[in-house]
Amino acid sequence: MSDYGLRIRDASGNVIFDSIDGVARVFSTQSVAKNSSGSYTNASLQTAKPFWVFYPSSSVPPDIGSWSYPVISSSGSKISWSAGTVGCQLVIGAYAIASSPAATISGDYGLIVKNA
Amino acid sequence: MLIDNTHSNLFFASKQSISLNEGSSTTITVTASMPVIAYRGTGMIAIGAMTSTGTNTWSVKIYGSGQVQTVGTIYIFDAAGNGHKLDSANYGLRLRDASGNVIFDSRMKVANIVGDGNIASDAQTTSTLSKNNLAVIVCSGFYYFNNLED
Repeated sequence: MSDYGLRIRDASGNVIFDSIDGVARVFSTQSVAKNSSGSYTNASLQTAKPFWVFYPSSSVPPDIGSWSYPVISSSGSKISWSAGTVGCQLVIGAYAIASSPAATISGDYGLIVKNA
Repeated sequence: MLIDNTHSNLFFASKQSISLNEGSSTTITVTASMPVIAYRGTGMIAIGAMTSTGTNTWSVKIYGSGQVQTVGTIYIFDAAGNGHKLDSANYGLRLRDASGNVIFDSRMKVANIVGDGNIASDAQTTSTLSKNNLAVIVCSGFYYFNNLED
């Protein structure tokens, strides 16, 4: 058991948050227009194991024909995408774990919990 | 960094049961700013389309597996706030940003990451998860949703 960090229990004594666990954090959400491309860069993505989820904006016909689909790739701290002919909704996140370096802090309020 | 005012943590927002016959689909309505969808149940699902139908409201088309029944639960994760119901209990930790938006509330269930894996191209894999009550984040299916197989 670690002697640092933050652990919160509910009224029954169950642990409902522990800073040693990895949590899913959202870095960017956006709508991507069809036939467009773009990228997103955040230094924390390189160290906090990025993930992304995308959802097509239009349903898929049984016969795809000339439709093309979003393609997403990552390299280092940069995630790039090409939306294809349907467009998509895009969520870019990262696993924030106790060993991850600090993310950028823009305000002087709130709560900062760091590991050892 | 686990909690700060810059990035949103994902919290459990709601869930819905689904039951799909082989190769069929359904459309559900989801309340969230930008939902992250997870699934737990039999078979597999793919997201066919997700379109905004209003402020914090989405229409999501879900395809089930091609050759087995798809019966399970859709879990919706979202940032805190956004109209999601907050527990009225008077204990725990709640943080707000400079605009007064709730960015963390210990009484909402945070999306914890318990594992990940690599899948080779044109392959499928099975992972044994060590905890109960887990759901898997669902990405869009790419191709021929109606032919998804187990």
